[in-house]
Amino acid sequence: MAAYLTAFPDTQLLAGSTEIGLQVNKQFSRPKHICYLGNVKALSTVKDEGSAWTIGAAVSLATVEVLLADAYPDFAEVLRRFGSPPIRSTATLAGNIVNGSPIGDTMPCLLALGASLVLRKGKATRTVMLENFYTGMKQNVLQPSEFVEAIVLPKPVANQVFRAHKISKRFEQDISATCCAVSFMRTGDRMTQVKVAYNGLAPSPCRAPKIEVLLEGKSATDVSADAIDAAIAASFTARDGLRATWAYRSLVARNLVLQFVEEAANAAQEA
Amino acid sequence: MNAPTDIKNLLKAGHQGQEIIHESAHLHVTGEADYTDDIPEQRGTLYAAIIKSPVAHGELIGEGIDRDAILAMHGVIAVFTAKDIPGENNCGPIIHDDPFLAEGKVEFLGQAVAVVVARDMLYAREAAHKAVVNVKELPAILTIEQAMQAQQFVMPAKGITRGNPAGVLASAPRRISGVTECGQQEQFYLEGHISYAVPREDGQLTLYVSTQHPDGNRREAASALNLNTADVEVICRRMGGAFGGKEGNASIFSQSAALAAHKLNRPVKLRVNRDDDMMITGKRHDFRIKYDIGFDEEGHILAADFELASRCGYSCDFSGPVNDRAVLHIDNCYYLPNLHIISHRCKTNTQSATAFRGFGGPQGMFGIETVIEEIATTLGKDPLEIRLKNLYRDPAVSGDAASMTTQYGQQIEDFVADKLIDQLKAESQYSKRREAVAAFNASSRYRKRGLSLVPLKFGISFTATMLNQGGALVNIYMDGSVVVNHGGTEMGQGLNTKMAQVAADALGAAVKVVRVTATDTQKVPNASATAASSGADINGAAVNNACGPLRERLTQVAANMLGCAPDAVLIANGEVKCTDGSTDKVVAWKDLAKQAWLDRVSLSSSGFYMTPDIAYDFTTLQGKAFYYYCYGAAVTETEIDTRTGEWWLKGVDIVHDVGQSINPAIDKGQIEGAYVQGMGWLTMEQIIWDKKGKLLTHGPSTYKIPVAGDIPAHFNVSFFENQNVKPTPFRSKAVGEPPLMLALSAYFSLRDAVGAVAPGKVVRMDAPATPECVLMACEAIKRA
Amino acid sequence: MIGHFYVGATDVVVAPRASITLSRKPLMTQVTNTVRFVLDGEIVEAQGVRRTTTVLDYLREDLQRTGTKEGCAEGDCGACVIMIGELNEAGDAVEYKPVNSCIQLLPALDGKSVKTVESLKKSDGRLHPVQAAMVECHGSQCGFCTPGIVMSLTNMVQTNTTPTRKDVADALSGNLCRCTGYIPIIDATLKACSQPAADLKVDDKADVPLLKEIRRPSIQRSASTVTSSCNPLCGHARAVSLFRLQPLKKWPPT
Repeated sequence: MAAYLTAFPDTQLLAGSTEIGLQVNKQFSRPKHICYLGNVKALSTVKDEGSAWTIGAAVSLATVEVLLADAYPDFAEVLRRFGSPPIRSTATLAGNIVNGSPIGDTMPCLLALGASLVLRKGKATRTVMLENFYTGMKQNVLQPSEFVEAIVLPKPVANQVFRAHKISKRFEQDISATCCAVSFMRTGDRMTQVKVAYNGLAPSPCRAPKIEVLLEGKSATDVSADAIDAAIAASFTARDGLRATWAYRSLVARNLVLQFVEEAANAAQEA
Repeated sequence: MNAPTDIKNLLKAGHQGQEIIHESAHLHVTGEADYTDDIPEQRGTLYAAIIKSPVAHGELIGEGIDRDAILAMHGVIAVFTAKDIPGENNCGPIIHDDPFLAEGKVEFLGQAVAVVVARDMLYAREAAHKAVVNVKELPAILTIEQAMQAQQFVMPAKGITRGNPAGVLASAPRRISGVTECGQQEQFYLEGHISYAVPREDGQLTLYVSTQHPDGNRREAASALNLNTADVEVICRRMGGAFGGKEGNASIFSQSAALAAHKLNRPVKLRVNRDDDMMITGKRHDFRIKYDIGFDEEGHILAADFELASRCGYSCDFSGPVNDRAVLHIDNCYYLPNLHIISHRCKTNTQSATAFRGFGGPQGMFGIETVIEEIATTLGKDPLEIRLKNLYRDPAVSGDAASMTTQYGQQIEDFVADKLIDQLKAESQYSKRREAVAAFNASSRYRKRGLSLVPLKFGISFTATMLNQGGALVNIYMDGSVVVNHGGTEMGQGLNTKMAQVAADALGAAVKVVRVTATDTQKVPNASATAASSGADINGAAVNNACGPLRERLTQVAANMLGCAPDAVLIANGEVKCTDGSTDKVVAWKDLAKQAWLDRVSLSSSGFYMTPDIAYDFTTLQGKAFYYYCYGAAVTETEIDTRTGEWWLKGVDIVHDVGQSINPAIDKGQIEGAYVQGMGWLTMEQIIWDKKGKLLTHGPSTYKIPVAGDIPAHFNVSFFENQNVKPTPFRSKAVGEPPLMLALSAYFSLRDAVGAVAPGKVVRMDAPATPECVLMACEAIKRA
Repeated sequence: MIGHFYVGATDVVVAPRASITLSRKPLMTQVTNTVRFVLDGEIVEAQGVRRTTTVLDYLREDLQRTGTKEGCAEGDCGACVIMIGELNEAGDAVEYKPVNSCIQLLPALDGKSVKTVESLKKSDGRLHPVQAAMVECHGSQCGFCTPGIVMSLTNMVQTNTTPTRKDVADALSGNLCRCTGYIPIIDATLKACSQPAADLKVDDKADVPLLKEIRRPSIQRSASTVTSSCNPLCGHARAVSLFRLQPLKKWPPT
């Protein structure tokens, strides 16, 4: 397949068809070359590498949802809510990532978990952290004939807290106004190795380092709404969108971080 | 003959009142039910697509399109514009101000400028997509505010003044004023608009249309093509949903399909995709409602001043009667002794707002219920208490001669809202639930719950009196099978099933031998649209009136067959017996039919019905507008997250008045479905435009209607035991629209939950109450 | 220049054009410009249909299976849901997944089997328990969403015959219904699941051997060559199809 793509670099890759089908129907798209990944065994497997999973590019979201149900229940719930069963049965993580929508829902979770991508061109591969993959709105570092072969997702470790929640107009099956994902290690009552990621606030889903810095090494009581508001304002350009105004998005983005931090602290206390 | 067949005869037979399965259910589940796109296409069928205006307001340059460029596109056979229409260029159902192909100017983004025909659907749509429209853009008026500023209306304002509103307002002990808004709603029938036009010999035309009003489509096509109405046939077996969106709007497409088919003398199918359907067709009118209310310390409304303004789009369509109905339902179940209400019909460069289940009623009720809630908050009382205080009352009890008379001068003869509310209070355990909600809110920091009981009263009749008529045709065949045809259309509401039950009982046949056939303008002429929830009332009465003479004739034949007196003949459930003991012979229905034919007795009959008693002047909005009223009430409990605005329905309890139900299962389905649709309107369905007048929510990815996961397990529906005071078929009541207004309790429950964030402060929250709206209302009430 | 539809892992390149044949007997067509899939105990060979033909359009226009509907053409309403089956690892059974046929491109069906709403009714007229329960529980009103809903539910009961109400709501999260409010549909599903699990399984015994038959061999190729056994044909020729009005059924019915 890689050889095929080298010969025909303008080939349209097709896996779940959820984006391509849409373009065919609504924009009369007729790609000259289409390469269907669904039957490529090497791309349809999940490998357990001990500390991480290597998830092939053609693995469906339904498979990922089952895989992560125990490890990252919030991620599984995000998947359950953003795609219906017919969508999850064919749509792929790789497709969602490469399509690169600013409101792609898998990306905040993957970013907060430190996922990386294995990119392949011909026989050569390279690994890129997801947070370094996007260069702009729907733009990424893929070179001609290069494709995403797999996603490497770290498995949870002891004392890790992972929370994610997506906000949408209709609770079931709707695209996000924003989806927030947070991961940190709990050291006593302190949070360390904090990663915070969002979609819907920037041209691509991204981490929010200014918020991470507010949480790093702190406890839940140190975190204030005002500080997070300021960090959000400093990190992102205020823009009203089709699915939500900036006022709502930024408010909810702040409230979700506070909620995750508070609930983690409560859970730790009860334990 | 106006009155339907005597009720006693009907009750004996017994198909009516039974939960008979929808006559198409077995076809639905197997995919065998044919919708218009499933009809096998004739050889040579061509396909059409609409070329749309890219601007909200503009002057077309020439015809607006470059014919040569379009004809040069792959697969294109023809393109037609307004210039090609031999007759009248109109698709407006009441006022003929609505060209189906733009002429000279375009008045909304998406308006049909031309129709392109190609040998493949793909090529037609692609050509339409690529076609360039030459237009000089003009400034556009897009919102109610802008239209009010510019004083631009589709028709003059109308209003009602009752009593002395200004005087009483000024002297009222308490006064509140404010403004609220309720949004547009897309019908989102699962089956989109489609017309299949097939030319026949000698200039005749057959149109297969997904439509609530075949006769309207027929007349308009005839008028556009200079044909006799009798030469245009429109057939509709069923629609995959309509909800008012196909009452007049089908003509937008059937006209173009007819034009193309007639000109090319080839069958032409025009099926718009979902995006075009949503961009071109009309939505529910959104309303801005200003109110100024005077009341006393008990919460009695003494005087009310309302200003309604609705976004009607660029043409009249049904905006007249929709806005009228909003005015006629501003009272809901409440007596407003002094009232001034004015209704502005704003003209905007947007799609022409059209019919949608409720037809202005829900919007008017939204206004008064908002007032009730604000009065309750102001006085620190439960809103239910305020509702009960203001209900219409028997003048003998109230001492006020007008307390059972509406603002349009109609005396209510069947008021049961008070008893119905009592039943619901008991069944839903309202008081206990109210305490539980309060306890939860007191102890919960981030999540709040709300509870609301809202009643409804909805008037049944077309407000245009001449539409309250209907016809039917019943044929009995020699083998006893029966065909019933009527002027109503089946859109899922189970009308055909009910008509089969009515006919079976009226004739005395078994319901399984009755086949209700596709609505067909050649069988029943001049039928009104199936709308105003009146389908079963009007067509059922017409079916009864067709069956009456047949039954009389058959009774004579039976008397001869049995050898007994005609008075003693009983025909019921497919069997014929003698009730006076003179014989115990039993004759089968099919043998009775055969004998009738042998005796040369006519086995065919047409029936007609016109609703009596109504006498209403729609220019002054005064008179007896409605034949009767439907009533209902719902209790909804919701929970909100005050950090995100997300909300969930926790429980719904409904008591609804359907009179004596012809088919309780079908009626229950209507109640449940209408509630969910109304809930969608008031919570998650949001129509969004850009600043240039382009509709941004034109598909289910952006426009969200309720899904299964939105419905709580606790969803109870019970009927209010009642019989219609009027002699409708089986003393049943209309059920299509009224239950939609039950969903007002969902919205007000959310409002109640937001109020729990800062008890005693008035909630300011428009509809739809999306999570964003709920969160912002929470933030606002904290700051207030 | 001609375009290709590369159906990965093998060297099948599906070029555009040809005719459609429906065959009872396994046709050992080695020509690689075909899409082959199994439909209710028969192999369907679609040759040279436009590469970007959707499965929905193919079902409705070319196979006259009009039970599957178009509601939005963007995978959001579920009116077009069908089941796509693949042979399991052991090769003795078919595993199904629900799919929005409006956005699936036909060549992606190669090597798989398909179940549409027409596949469920038995030749003696007996309905699948999900269908029967939907009728009994008044689960449809206008009926347009019903085939898609029936297929989503039928797919669910292939692997879950004891669903909770939430499981059912999840299975239906991609199916919009504007008429019923969903309540009787959920009731109908629970009622259907009171039937024996074996009765809920779709009948696909005849499909299994055919799926083996149409399976294309996996070929390892050296990276330097690209196989391209397509015929030099034009990209837009419309197929000539064998015309049948109703979904294919065996005759005489048994």
